[in-house]
Amino acid sequence: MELAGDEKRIQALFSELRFEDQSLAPSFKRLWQSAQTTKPKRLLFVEPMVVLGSVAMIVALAMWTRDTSTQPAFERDVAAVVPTVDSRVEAPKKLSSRKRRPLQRKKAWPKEPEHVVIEQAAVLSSWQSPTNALMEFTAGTVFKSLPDLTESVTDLESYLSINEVKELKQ
Amino acid sequence: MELAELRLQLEELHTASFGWALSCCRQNYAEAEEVLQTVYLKILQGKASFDGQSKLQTWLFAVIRNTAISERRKSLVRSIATPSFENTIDARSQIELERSEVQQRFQAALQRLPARQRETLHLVFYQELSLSEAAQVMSISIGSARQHYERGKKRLRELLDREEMDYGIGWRRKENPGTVL
Repeated sequence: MELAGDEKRIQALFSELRFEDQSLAPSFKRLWQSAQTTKPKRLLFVEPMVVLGSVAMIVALAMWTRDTSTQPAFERDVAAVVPTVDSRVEAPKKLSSRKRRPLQRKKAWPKEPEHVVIEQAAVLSSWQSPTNALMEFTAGTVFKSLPDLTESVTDLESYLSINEVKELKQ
Repeated sequence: MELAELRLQLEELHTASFGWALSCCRQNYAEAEEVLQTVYLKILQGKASFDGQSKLQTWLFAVIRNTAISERRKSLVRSIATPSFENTIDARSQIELERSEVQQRFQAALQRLPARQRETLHLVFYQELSLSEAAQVMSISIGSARQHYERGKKRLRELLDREEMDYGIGWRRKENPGTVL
């Protein structure tokens, strides 16, 4: 490669640098021997990373198993009361573009005996709201029955108060 | 290749290898020595083995370069964890004091070049490798190596001219402090 003026100048500077570096270079024997005696270095900064990674994995695994194994108390109660859906009736399929994840197996809870279920159903059917009493009032009959146009005057008078009847008669 | 034979060839290349290690470690003497020792250790342990597909020098230089990069990463993490700069600064300044003024300016200009350009110039001018060999060491295409070489030369020339100009101004000021420039 033929060198131009600037290249010659750069070459000269590099040659000078090489000459200076040669005087600084450590002896080959020393480096070779110390390499031979050196044991493989322990990876100081890799080890904590491995520990941190494994701890994170354990935590993630613990959280995942907790989510899959435990069922909320509410779901358990509902499952006990609500009768099971006939297995022959298929639920409508959801229209979804996403692929469905494989269903995770849930832990089967023990079924309660039939008479207990019936008792619980009876309790539920006879249940009344505590605010029902507030719906009762004195003039309830007025709203419960309406006058009919074909009724006689005497019948219609029964819907009026005593004072109103007196006023009409006067 | 047997270890004894390899050892002899490594010994022949030792000075050039140290020069290359110095360039990869930004002229840090202690770091370059550590890198070279690690390279020899890798060879002894068989972690780096020469398969004879290329020249021994290009293979060795590629190993030195990769080791220097990984060592720099490690030292960066270490410096974040436990910062201590005193020793490295002392060692570096001591070596810089021993260099001539022209060399110091040349070094400063080199350090301002992008790493790839600096490496290409070093391999071509200092190690006297061809561009294809330099490309092999740096694991890049010959086209990229040529581009780094041309750009590096141009930039280095500019930097050296600027340095010389600054030096001239500084020198004149020293000689005649009253001069208004």
